[in-house]
Amino acid sequence: MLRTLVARIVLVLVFAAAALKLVPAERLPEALRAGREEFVGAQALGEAVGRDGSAARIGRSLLRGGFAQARSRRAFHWLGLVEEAAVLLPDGGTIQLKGVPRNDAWFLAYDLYPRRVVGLTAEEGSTLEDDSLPGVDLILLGSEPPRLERAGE
Amino acid sequence: MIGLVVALVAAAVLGGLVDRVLGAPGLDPLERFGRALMFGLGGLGALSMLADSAGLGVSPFGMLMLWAAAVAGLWFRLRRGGDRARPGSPVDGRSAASARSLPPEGALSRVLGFALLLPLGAALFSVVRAGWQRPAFQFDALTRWIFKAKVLAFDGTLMGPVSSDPAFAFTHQRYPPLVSHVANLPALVNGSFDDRLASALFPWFAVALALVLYGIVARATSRRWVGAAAALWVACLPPSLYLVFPPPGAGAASAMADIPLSLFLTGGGLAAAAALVAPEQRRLAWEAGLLLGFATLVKNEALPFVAGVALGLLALGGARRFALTARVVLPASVIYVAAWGLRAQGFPALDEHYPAQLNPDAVTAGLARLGPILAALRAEVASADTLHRWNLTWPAALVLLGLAGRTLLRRDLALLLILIVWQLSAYVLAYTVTAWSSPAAEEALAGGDPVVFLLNLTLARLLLHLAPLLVATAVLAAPLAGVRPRSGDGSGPRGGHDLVSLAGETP
Repeated sequence: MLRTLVARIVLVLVFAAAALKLVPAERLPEALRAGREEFVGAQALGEAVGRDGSAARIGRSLLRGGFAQARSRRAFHWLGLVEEAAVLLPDGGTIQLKGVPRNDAWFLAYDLYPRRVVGLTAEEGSTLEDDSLPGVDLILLGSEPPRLERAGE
Repeated sequence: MIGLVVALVAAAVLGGLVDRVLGAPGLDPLERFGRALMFGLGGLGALSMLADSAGLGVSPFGMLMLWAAAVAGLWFRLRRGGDRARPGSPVDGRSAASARSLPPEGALSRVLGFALLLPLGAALFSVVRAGWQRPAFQFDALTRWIFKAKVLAFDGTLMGPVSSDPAFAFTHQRYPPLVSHVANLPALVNGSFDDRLASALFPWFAVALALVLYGIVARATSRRWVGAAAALWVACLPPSLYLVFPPPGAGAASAMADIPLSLFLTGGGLAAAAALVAPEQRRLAWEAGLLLGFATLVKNEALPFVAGVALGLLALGGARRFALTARVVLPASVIYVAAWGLRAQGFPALDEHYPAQLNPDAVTAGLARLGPILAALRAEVASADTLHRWNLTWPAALVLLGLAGRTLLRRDLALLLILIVWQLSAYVLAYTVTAWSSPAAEEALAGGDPVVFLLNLTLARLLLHLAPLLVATAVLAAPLAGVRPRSGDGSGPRGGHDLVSLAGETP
């Protein structure tokens, strides 16, 4: 009986720990407060973001801001350029990145697919002065702010 | 939206038939739904991977044909084997009385069970809603799983440059892509890729996990409230699902593969434990093999788990150990090799390719890392932070296991504990030998060991693979319901709750 009682009390404590997250935000520890703020932000985005892919991408870039504000602003820039690149390039075209950080390059590879993203990342030594690769249609420069230009311009 | 609904219905139909063919009679409707989702999402993903690995590609028509053929085959099998599979048939030894949802229980217990199902429903609804609202946002999700889903939607295959060109190495080309194939299903229906719909499928793995856990524990303990409590415990884990506030990371709505892996490891591990104590019920072994096979197609982390199952069954399986082990491990191996393993061997390996690093020199050199690895593990499970990050899961599970006492020596529970410790050890070993690094780690650590950065990024995610199985083991072992059913095979220590009822019948 005693062991059963203790086991049940342990279970109650687990749920009490979960329920702790229901107390008002000002009394929450920092980690929980951050989680709540992110959730409220996500809810607001859910209402603001439409069902089309473009709005979803913008929403996603803002959500990334939960991890690094600097990247959020950067991603927002990228996303404007992603839209522009999608208009300029047919599926299957090639975009070279110059001086773009690795993580942003990977995001861009995703956002721009099926357009092909080529070029080294900034961590691999890529700079804005890199030579253009043959067969490239567009170049995305990792400048501040980042910009897009046609190859050969 | 249509694509998402059609994908879920197709998965539930396929999985429901698999569930029926496997033959567990009279389960609770909630558990039936969870099992249908579990088998269906895994089955559709595996079929899609099989078609792609065979060079057929993944097209809407091809997937429709595969699905229809699978459904027709299962339906035929069900009709043909109807007489044998019917509860009460002397062939499989079930009694008609055993074919019921849950054993009778007192009014108070029943009321408490339904009361706990309400917050469970709220938790699952919140994660499904979040998955629907939020496009995929997690870094690994976008650059690996959803990236491959997008490639599948545009190219109809993952056997092209994305898996062979070093330019796509960041997608981790040898990672098995079952979740990407599942995420591609809405695009197959709609004819266009939308990453919100692709990522909206992921929370349904979590729904399946919670409902399957609910059913197994409720039947094993003869108490609906204990099952609901175990499911709610898992559904409230901040790193996985969430009731109110989600942290970023590997959660069910993040389009990461960790919850799907948790689902198949938990389902496969519990089925293997049930098969251990009821080896005469071969379908339990087949079920374990099928689920573990799905797990190997979700993440490579399932491979050491399958090895652990094999070793555990060989060690604890008694006179039938070889046949039992073969029935579990062979299907899992065939699924992995046919759907992924053979083709993956030809894809570039990363510097994180662990099998290549498992040599004596690397292990010896990695021993110096044990200090920071164990410190990170302790901080995750046994510090004040565990209250917020894990809702006391780790200390609570340890206390429940402590209360179980000698019950833990029972073979099915012993197997589950062996699996948890084995898998945890495999993760520690992987951390000791990993060659992983990243620009962010090098910048943050200024020459320090990148594994410290890696631990911070991934340890909670890896523990998440095991947390549901640990919760299930602790709840099944502890005297929560105040009943002491007999051991599954009548031998060994008695007590705890019997996993044979995983099969849906009274032992």
